[in-house]
Amino acid sequence: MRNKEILLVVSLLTLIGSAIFGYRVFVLDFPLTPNKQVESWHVEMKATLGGPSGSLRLEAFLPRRDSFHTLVDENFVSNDFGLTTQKDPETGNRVVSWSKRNASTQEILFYRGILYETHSANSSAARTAPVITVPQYKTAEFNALRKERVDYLGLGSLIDEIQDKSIDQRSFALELFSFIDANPADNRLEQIQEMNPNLTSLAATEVFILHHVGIYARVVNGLPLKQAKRHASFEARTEILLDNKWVQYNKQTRSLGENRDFLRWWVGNVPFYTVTGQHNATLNIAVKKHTENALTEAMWRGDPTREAMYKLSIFNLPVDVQLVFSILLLVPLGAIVVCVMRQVIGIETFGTFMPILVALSFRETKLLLGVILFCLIVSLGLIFRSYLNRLQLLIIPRLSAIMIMVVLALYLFSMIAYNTNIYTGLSISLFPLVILTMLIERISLSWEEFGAQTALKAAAGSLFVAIVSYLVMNNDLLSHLMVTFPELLLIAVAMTILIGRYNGYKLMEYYRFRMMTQPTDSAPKD
Amino acid sequence: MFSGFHRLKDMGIMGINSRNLDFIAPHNRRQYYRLVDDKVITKKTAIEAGIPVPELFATIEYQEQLKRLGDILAQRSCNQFVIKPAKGSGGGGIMVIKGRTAAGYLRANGQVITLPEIQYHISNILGGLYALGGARDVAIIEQCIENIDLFDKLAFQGVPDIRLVIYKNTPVMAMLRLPTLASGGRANLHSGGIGVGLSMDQGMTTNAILHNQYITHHGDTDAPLLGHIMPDWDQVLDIGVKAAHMAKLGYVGVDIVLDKHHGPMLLEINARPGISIQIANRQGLKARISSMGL
Repeated sequence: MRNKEILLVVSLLTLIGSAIFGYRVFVLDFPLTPNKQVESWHVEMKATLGGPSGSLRLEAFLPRRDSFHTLVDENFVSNDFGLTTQKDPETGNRVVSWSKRNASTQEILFYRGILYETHSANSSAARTAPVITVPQYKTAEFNALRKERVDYLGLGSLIDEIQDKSIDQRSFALELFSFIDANPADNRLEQIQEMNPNLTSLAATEVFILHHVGIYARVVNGLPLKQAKRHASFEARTEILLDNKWVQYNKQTRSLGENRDFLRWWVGNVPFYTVTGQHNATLNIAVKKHTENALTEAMWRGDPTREAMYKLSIFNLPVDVQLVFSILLLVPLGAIVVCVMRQVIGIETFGTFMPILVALSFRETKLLLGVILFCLIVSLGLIFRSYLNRLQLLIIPRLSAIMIMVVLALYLFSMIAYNTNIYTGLSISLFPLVILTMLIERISLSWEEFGAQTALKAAAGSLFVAIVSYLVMNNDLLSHLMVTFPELLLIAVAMTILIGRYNGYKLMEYYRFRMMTQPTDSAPKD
Repeated sequence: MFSGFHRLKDMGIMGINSRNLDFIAPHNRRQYYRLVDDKVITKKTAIEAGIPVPELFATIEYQEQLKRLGDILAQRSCNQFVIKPAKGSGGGGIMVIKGRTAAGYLRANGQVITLPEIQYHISNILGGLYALGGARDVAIIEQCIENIDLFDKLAFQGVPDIRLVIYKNTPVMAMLRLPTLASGGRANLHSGGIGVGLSMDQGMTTNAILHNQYITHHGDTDAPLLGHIMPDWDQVLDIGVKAAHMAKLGYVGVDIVLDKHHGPMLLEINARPGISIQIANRQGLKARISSMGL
């Protein structure tokens, strides 16, 4: 009876899961394998406005098409706000303006845009060349200013110095950028910035200098496109027009070139947004690399009649929610690993899901470093715990003390790693503090109760399961499948139900009962 | 190891998964676990059912009471007692006091321990250090068992106990558990205790295991382990059946101690009895159960 029911539930779940999966793969052409080639970016802007109710207008810049990115789609979510977008023909900046006469105390506005990377550069650069109106270096006007104003005195001396080392516009720009990169606090720069309060960024100052020697330059605000970010912040960069191309200075290579990995948002040294009214605004920008271009294509070819099937994809969620789910959807994989390891193989671990959390934290630190960090912190914690044992503390304060020591240890390791440049990208934000603390407590208890062997065996088992979970969760194919086809969760549930009814022997039990399966006469000797 | 793949099944050995799915799940109802998981309730119910148990001296429920611990212990004018968590498992958190000296209390292993150290131990118990899931717990102070002569000979310190597996109110398998030097006075097998298989008809020791290896002599005392007969065996079996009936559980482990003066007494009931008992008896539990026609 019960077995029939389980068979029914399992086959039903598997059937539904694979039906949806099959439909999306074969009919909707969702890609089965991860496609490494990155072709598009999702950007999202969320404006949170709070303040006394009344009339409100928010103007903000929108991402713009540049040589390497084309805007393919954008949506605005703004309940009963008046919405206009316009493009400034001179700068090419795009501005959205949301306005409402009776805004309430809390308003939230959304914008989402999808940009494709284009490989054939758009040659639209020359059209938007700025007009230079400032006095030119070595003209009479410039020389006069140089005698009158302290900023022009500094400017002139700086240009003199750079000019000596350069022969043309390109080399002048290169020299200037590398000089400023090396001496960002040069007092001539400070003089210039003091007298011209509108030069709020280094990029604006650079543009100011470049304009005085007749080089077309502009401040570009945008996002470095390296990785997904839930809270991205804009960077202001200087771009100069050379041979009809807008080029940026690259600090690493000390050269000038076009920057593909930079999403240009707006041009000019002006603030990102302005609010008219009494509301305060907070704008959050999220950016996410779209992992599969084939997937995007499938999504774009979408047929409205089959809408529901497309909606299943997490790529229809807001970008920051997507980022959360792209991790959450991996957890079931870890759960299945834990089920198999414990029920079928029979490896002892501390805590049921502790290994999954440790595995998730390995995603942040990478495997080798994660394992080293894990061992170091746990051993330090055990030493500290054995000392605390002498002091005889109440349990909860003792756990807190261990946790604080774990935080301290993490901090020290980060410091050491950073200062010795062993691993500068060390990110331990998700390293599960509480889990580590409980683990230390449980290992040390088990150590006292059942001896070092039992405790270390279970600790090693936990680490082993965590490593296997990590390898499974970090498998490109598996994680792609889970994230692209959430219907596979149904099959995952079916698998866990099946394992839940496994009444066969664990692999370790063959070892445990090995004495019994040997012929009786060979066992007792003395 | 791999040659044993089919043998395990042929020998009717019960694995953990099978124990949980085929024996515990259908025969042990969750609602009755409370009685066996809390030793205070077990003890009270057993007294009502007329089952002999070690005498309860005191229970400590609040940190407050610890301040008066010295008085509580003095009041009893008893120098021998056991402190244990009411919801402990696997023999964790048990402290046996054998006597008093000028410096403090004397533990079973000869170590002298002060009153504050005992208070700290109890405060750990109250905080749930030894309880399943770390929930708040109560500490029990109870009568210390005085070993029968046979056990004094067989065991190295500590109190041996007899584990009976009772299935459908019938004792199906039995094992004597002996503490060793390494197990620190505890009788649990995974703490390093010796498991000795017992015949069901007269309670005779048949095989002995230590860490999954068959042995014939106690490593610490050098006493021969096989061929001894448990005294009061019928009473032991009777307590086991009564305890299982009282607990309303279909598949249980019942732990029974033998006191020199009071005879067999119920120590605790376990709703999830371990499966190592099969190794000590050289027979699978499933094979045993089917041979008994249950």
